[in-house]
Amino acid sequence: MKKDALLDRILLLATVIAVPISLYLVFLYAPLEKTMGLMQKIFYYHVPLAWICFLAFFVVFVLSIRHLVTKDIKYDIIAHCSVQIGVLFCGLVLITGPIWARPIWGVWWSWDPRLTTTLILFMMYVGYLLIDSFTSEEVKAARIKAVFGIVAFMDVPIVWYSIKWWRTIHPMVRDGKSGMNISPKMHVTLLFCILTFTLIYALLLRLAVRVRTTEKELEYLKDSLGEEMI
Amino acid sequence: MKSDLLKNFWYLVSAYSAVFVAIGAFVFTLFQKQDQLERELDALKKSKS
Repeated sequence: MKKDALLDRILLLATVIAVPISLYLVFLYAPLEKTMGLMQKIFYYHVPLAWICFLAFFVVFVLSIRHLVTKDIKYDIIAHCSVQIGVLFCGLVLITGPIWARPIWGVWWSWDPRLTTTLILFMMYVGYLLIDSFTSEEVKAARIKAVFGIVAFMDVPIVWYSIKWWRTIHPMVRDGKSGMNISPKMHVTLLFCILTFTLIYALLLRLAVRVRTTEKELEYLKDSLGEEMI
Repeated sequence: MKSDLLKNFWYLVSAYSAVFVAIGAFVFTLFQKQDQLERELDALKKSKS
């Protein structure tokens, strides 16, 4: 128990320190990009949100396999919480992206492959969260969610490679020829923001797992009280 | 030119605010739910004993 509380405190402290540093780096340290100017700075949160959302769904993928193999409900609990955070971050990608797109492309949305596949990813994992409401059997729901979590993850590499496989207007981060010019200071800022969001993800996951575990404990207690009355 | 810069500044502020508001709301909901669940659990444990 003590180790858990210490880890929580360390994570919270690290996150509380990292967030203002990331804002300093974004607004004061990183230079203005040549073509997009001020709007390019959305990239420093938009890209980490996307990458950590992929991480969250990868965690779900791994835990779903573990659940199917071991049938241990704890993997379902953690996977469910990881989906909640992944959906939150994916939703934020779909909000920050259009806010950037409006002044740059002149439109809020386009049916570009990267945007469309990300929207599909978001909707699939929202679907995952709804599975519990379709069955009262915990074991059955966990199994369905595990299979869904494995299949839905197939969209993540599709989102990632969509800008290489299809014609797209979405900027590429890594390709210096056709993408954005990234200076060393921009790289440092981006990497630090990725670290910040990784810490936020870890902290949110621990909080969410605690809530879901307490929820399950309450359910089991209610069930056992119900059985005693019968 | 100045109005474009101001417009872009507000777009930027909206994007960052959305991130903080959404994550903040999620954390707040988690804490609220945890409080509520712990109260229910305590009440049930007391009634069981």
